This record gives sequence, structure tokens and C-alpha cells, in this order.
Amino acid sequence: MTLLDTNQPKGLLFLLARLALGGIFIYASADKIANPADFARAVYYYQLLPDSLINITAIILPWLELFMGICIIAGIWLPGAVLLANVLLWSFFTALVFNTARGLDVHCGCFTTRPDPAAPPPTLWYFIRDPIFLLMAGYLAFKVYMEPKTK
Amino acid sequence: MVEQVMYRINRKAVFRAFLQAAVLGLISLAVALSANALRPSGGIALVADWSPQARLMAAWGEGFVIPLEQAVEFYDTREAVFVDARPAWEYEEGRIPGAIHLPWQGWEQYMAGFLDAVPDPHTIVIAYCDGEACELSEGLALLLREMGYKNAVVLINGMTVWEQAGYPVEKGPDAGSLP
Repeated sequence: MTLLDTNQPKGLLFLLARLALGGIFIYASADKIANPADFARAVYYYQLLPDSLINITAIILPWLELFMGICIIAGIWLPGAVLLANVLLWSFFTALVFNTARGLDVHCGCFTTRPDPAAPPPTLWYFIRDPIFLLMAGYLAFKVYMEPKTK
Repeated sequence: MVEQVMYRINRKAVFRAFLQAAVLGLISLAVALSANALRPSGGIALVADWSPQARLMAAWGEGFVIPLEQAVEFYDTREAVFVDARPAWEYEEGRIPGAIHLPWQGWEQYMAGFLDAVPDPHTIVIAYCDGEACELSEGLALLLREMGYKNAVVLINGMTVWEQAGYPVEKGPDAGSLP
């Protein structure tokens, strides 16, 4: 298992998508690593995990996002990092859809662990933003897991 | 002729993906647990009690949450004022009888009415909303405490526990609560 894969896909769009998505994950991890108790609260408000898993999720998830983001930007272990990025983003999106469907309007806790409690969550914006992230992650997955077929 | 490029799954990359993802997960786990343990504050507990009572008491102290029996007693003796922190439509659909409407979202418009109705800051004010995770009453009680109503408390999952216990519910718009 080599760190830097010399056969990895190339191209400007691929590089830009990596920089953007990796940057987003690193940025998203910072505030959560700094404020684990607040992030645990954000996880609690999703009302999805059993109580026993809330804190451990809040402890690990930000670090996973940080390492993933670094890998995606640096081009290290791209297959693994891109897989995790897709799994996480789909989980977040599913949670968003599920909570919206059951009428639970929660702050996503994605980039800040201390949202203004008096301001309603910008759920519509989440529904615009998340698919853009998914699209980028899907594009990276296509580039990393598919190869041109030689006839 | 347009050249068509066909793609196929790179099996090696997929196999690597699972292996690398597992290792990344383990690295994150190790770093996260170490970092949490090494925090000057001692980090957060790996497993915590997230029941609404435990959560609010841990955050704001023992006296912040009022049990239903106590709230009912204050209701019967008219010793406390109930404030409904939910939006207007929920308030009109059913509330604790006599509750003042003070919705957390947009409270600025309603505060004058509340101050007129409850001029004494020593009054026991019981804020409630609906749902175990509802933050509205918590925010409202904290705001009232900041404003000097030191006896502002939260009745967790208020509307639901009130109805479930079979206590009366008042419906319809309340002229007194209009801004």
C-alpha cells in the first residue's frame, strides 16, 4: 500500500475538486475539534444516534474529517479518503432529509458548533449546499474508481 | 467521428479504498481519543447521559428543570406563570390554560406584553415547548433569567407531558398574547 499513487488520475478539474472538497472537510473539522462539547450537543439535536454513541461520534468525526481532508488535498490514499468522503456526505444528507421529513428543523452543526439559537436553521440552503458537495465527491469517486477501458 | 471512451471499474482502487478507509478510521480513532484525553479540561466523557433533564441540569444547574408534578402544583395554586415558547399556530392549537404566548422566535415583539402581565421578577416562570429536544423553552428561560426573572425554569417536553397526564388544554387565539 504505497502512500502516493503514481497512477492517480490527473487533470485541472480533478485537482480543483480535490482542493475544494478537502478544504471543506478541513474547515469543517476545525471548530468541532476546538469545541467537542458543543459539537456533541449538535449531534444530540439530530436525534438519530442512541445516547451512548453521541459523545464518541462527536470525538472521532472531526478528526476523521481532518485526516480525510488532508489526504484528499495532498493526494494521499485517495481511494480510501474519497470512499469515506462519500459515505459521510451521504450520511449527512440522509440525516438532513430524514429530519426534514419528520418535521425536525435542526441546525446542521456542519461548520459551526454554536449556531444562533434564535435564528431558524437555513434548511433550504442545506438542501442546495449538500448536493453540491455530493456532486464533487461523486466526481472524485468516478475519477478514482473508474479507469478508461482499453480496447 | 467522436471518439467514445468507455470506462470500467478499477478493482484495485476499490480494494484499496476499503483498506485505506479502515486504516484512516483507526488513525482517527487513536488520535481523537488521545487528543480528548490530553485536553486540559480532561475532554468530554466517552459516554454521557443525554436525557433532557441531565443535559439541562449539567448546563444550567439543578434548579433549571421543573418536574411535571411540581409544575402542576404551581398551576393549581396559581403560584407560577406559564409561558409558551412555541410559534403562534402551535400555541393556538393547544396550550396550558392561561399560558402567556412568548415565542422564542420573535420574542422581541412579545416581550412588552409579557412584562406588563408579569411585572414581578420574583415570579416563578415556567417555560415550555414540545418535544424532548425542543430548545425553544430553554432559550426562553435563559433569556428571562438574564432579564432578572431568576425563577424562570423549563418544563421539558411540556405540552406533551401535560396532555399525557390528562390536564386541561386551552385552544384558540388569545387576544392578550398579541404583540
